[in-house]
Amino acid sequence: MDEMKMDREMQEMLHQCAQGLEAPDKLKTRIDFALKSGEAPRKVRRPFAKRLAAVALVAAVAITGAMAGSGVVGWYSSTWLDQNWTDFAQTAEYVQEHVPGAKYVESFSNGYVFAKGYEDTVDKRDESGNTLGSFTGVLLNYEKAGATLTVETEPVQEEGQYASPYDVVRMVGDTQVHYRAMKAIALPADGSIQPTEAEQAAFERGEINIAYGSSVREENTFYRVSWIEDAIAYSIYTFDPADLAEDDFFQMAQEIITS
Amino acid sequence: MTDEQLVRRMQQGDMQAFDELYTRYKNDAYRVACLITGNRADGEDLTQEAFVTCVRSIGSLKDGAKFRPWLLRTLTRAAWKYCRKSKRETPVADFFETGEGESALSAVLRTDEQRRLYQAMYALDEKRRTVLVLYYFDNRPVKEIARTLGVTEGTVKSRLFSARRHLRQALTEKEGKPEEAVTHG
Repeated sequence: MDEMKMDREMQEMLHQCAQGLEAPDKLKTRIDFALKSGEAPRKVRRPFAKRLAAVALVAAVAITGAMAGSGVVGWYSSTWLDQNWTDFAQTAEYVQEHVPGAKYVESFSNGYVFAKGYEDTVDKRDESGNTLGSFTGVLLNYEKAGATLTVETEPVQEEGQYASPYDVVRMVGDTQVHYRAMKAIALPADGSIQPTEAEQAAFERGEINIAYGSSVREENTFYRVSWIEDAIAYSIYTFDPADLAEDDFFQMAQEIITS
Repeated sequence: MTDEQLVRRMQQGDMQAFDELYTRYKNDAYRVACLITGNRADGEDLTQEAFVTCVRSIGSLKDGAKFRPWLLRTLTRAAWKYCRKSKRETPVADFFETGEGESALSAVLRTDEQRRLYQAMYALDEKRRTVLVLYYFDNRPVKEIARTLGVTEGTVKSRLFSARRHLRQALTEKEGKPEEAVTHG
């Protein structure tokens, strides 16, 4: 079959398939119901995602003004928890699809081994809650004796978001790597529990992070090492460092950078 | 009233404007969703998801005149996630191989060539299949498809080239087999 005939056949085939396809009346009812009930099928908001990114953003505004005028006041991350990959090769393929060129390892020399991969969608919103943009990253979970940590890769957004003046900074080769352990407070998204004035002030100074989306107020310490390489932002983080110390975080960063 | 005016009204909280946009584009969205997924039930789910997402994030749409491509972009992204999760394209292809039945979409096809094209299309991954649907069914030029999908024109051309090569191969292989020649009479 020649090219032109194939093109014609394709057009006809698809139009024939679509013949008689009309959105059923019940569809509008379903949509109205979903909008009224706030139903968001299958998509589950992950309460702790991007908590540090949000505070780093504030720090960047305060110090460099790099974000001035962007209108972005927060990042809202959501993950399809029912969509994950336990196969490393499959996850690696997905990483390359969404964050081309990203580096990753199947395991770290300290014994943390890949367990699951997730897609992570992040919306950047203004003060009114309007979405100004969004991007997709990939989260890789690693486990060791019941402890977990996450490696996150995403296309770099505004560079100032990934660092703060409170970081410990080391060079790994030509790459500047930042480490920080910081207080993190999680609050319900409905506003039923508010941060104290002191906490809000500390948040605005970039000293602590406040995230929304938990069912009750929670206080934790967030440990993260992060860096940017070839327009890709990397983070390794956990709320439960187990036996990991600052040097161990830098070591894991080095293993990815040199992979 | 133009899409731009309706979107502006939606952004001010007027849901009647949404009803009008829904009426305007429900069938376009539903047909594209059905063609990407290969069946009506999934097409319905995805159309619902796309419209709900659009309503919830309507504030982020700066150019209301681009509501339709924005809707289709939301739809295709939802479809890709769905296809990756459910792998629905495999059962669709299986219908042809096992002879157990046919999807409702293909039941209307008249010629063997169209049936083979259909089968070949659903053997493709969802991204190349989406490009085929937008190019051949929605009659969109490469540039517009690129804008809709949020990728470069080069990516669209590459997916289109690869998809067409796959379709050609599928047709050529079948045509070369004696039993198929008998079928063609």
